[in-house]
Amino acid sequence: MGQKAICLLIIAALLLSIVPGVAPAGPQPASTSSSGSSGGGGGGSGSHLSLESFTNYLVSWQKENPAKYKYMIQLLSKGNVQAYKDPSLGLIFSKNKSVNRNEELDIKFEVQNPNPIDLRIPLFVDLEVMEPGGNGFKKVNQNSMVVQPFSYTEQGKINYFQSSWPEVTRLDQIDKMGLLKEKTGEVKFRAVYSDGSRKKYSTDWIFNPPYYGVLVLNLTNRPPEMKNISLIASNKTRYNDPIEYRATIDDADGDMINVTLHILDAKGEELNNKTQRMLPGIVSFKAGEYGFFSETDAGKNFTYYYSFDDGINSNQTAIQPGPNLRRGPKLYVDKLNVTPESSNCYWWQWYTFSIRAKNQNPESFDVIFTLFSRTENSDWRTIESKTMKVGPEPQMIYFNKTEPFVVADANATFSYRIKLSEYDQNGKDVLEAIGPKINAKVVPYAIYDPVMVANLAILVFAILVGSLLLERKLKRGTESQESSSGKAGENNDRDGKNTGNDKAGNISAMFKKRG
Amino acid sequence: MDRFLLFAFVLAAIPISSSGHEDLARSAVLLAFILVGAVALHIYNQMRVHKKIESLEHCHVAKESFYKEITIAQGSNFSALAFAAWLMLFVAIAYLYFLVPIILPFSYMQIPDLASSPFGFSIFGLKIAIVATLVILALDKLPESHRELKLTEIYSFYTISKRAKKVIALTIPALTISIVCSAYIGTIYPAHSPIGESLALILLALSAGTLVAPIYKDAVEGLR
Repeated sequence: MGQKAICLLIIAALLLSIVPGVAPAGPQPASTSSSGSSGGGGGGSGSHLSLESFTNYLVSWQKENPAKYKYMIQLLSKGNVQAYKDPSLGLIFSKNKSVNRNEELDIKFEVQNPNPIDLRIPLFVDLEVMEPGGNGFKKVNQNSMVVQPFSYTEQGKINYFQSSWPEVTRLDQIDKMGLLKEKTGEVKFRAVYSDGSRKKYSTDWIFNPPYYGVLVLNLTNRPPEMKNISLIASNKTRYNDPIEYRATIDDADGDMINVTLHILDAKGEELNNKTQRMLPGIVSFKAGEYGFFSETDAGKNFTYYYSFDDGINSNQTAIQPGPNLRRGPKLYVDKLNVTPESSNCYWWQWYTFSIRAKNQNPESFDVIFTLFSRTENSDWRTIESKTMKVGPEPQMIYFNKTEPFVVADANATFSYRIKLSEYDQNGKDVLEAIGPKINAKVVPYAIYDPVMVANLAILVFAILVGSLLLERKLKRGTESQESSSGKAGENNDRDGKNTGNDKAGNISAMFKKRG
Repeated sequence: MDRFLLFAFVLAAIPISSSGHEDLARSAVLLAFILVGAVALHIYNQMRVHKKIESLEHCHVAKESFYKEITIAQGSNFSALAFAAWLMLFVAIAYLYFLVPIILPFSYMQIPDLASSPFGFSIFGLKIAIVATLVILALDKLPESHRELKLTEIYSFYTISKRAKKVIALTIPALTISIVCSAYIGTIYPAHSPIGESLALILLALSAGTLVAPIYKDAVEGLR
């Protein structure tokens, strides 16, 4: 644009220099007359107009005919303003117009500018939205998209530019800006541009899809759904057992969901509720974490249900049964102990384990005590289990003369534990302790033990009898004699046919002499 | 004094001379040397006599004929006792050196089920005896030209006096005591009994020396 103006100024200067009639009639600056051949006084010598003279002309025109002067300046700076045509602006949307808040929108705009590049001016394009039931458009994007005169793509006689607003991708973003108070319904969009002095709206033109002056989207919401409702707890649940409420919550729109667990008593009155805000998936409430139940709840039956919403639609499940908490003792245990058969602590000896227990409540309950042991070389092994009635009076529970170890446990330190079917005063159901080191001795018998005597007697007897039987079979003690005396008889297998030697008898005789 | 006994004592003195718990390993090596040496000398003895016969006869004498004529039957009772003595020697060696992990990292004690079994000791000993018997019987199947390698006939190649036979027979009770001493060491494991170990070793060495004494005696006499 600036270059064009400069060109026009030079052309005008040239015209002034060759056309005497256009020379100003007003007073001329002194310097102009002194320029001589420059024609400062409208001289018809045909010489060129100096810059100084032209400046003097402009100054004098500005004073003498301001209207004409203004037109001339406008003409020089903008060209033919009357030839300027407004660029058109429209929105482009080619997807399903029924959308939810989490869908990708992909709204674009297109500017078609019919003006030649010298007449184009920068445009600032914005997106505006009107919420369902709203009465006015509000700007959505924070930063305007700028369309520069040289940004257009030329296709035939059409110069167009397409783009989108990168920060506008989903309706939930617009919702977070506080521009969508109504969560469902028709949401309208329009585009607007400004060239610095004027604004034009996409509604000023009429388009055919996928181009829109006003883009109307139907904002929908699919409500969340809950399934796979379960209560994970042991068969005979105690109030302090692990109890987990679990369910799967789905939302087709992927909205954030508020899930509330309501716990009801036997009469159906709500005792407690807890809410989790979460994305669709598995929802889990652990009774221990939330402290749903206490000792006073033992022996009571409960029910529960869930309520949930995605901020638009809410729903709730049917009432589910459980948990039915059983009554149990309030155990107090101590004095976990082990007594070996002897201080030697051999692996083959018996060990007596004991624990003291009482119920802190006046009733008596059956409690299962299970004894386990292990060493550094082995895992936990169940030794014995017994059910005892535990009342308010302290009583010792004995595991008498157990034989918990095997030979591989020799020379190892052992641990033992008693598992309770109820929780103790510390909320634990396992008591554990470390026992003495097991003696390294492996063989449980002394050398004079009948077992050892029998072992060695069997060994020696078997070798002697076996040797006699083998000699009877092989006959090595008599065979050689027969051979050497020439009475080999049936044992001809030793008489090698190719080794027949006439001297054999002589050798025999010689050795007999030696003997 | 019977030279046989002299040889037996000299041979026994070699492993016994290594005293102390750590030297049980050395005694095992020395004992192995005595036994391997006995095998080598036994073969050497037969080769030496065979060559001597051939040089005297000025002709080739087949080994089969040579062995046929050279062997002397020692009697069934003695052969049975000698066979038993050899088996007990192998069992006594296994009991002394393999019952507890003294020399090698593996031992009977590292087979916990066997070690804690009421009849683990006899099972262990019988397994050793059976393996030894199978080896001896396998050697017995060698051809006639290799009769010198048959342990069942080892004493047929030597002149053994009645007294020597009695001494060889006495190795059975000696080896029995050695086995008992070794078993005692096993029963008190991981404790040690230097006396038990020494006694087991002495009796084992004496028995081994006695059993191979005829071979060494013949070899030394042959050198003269």
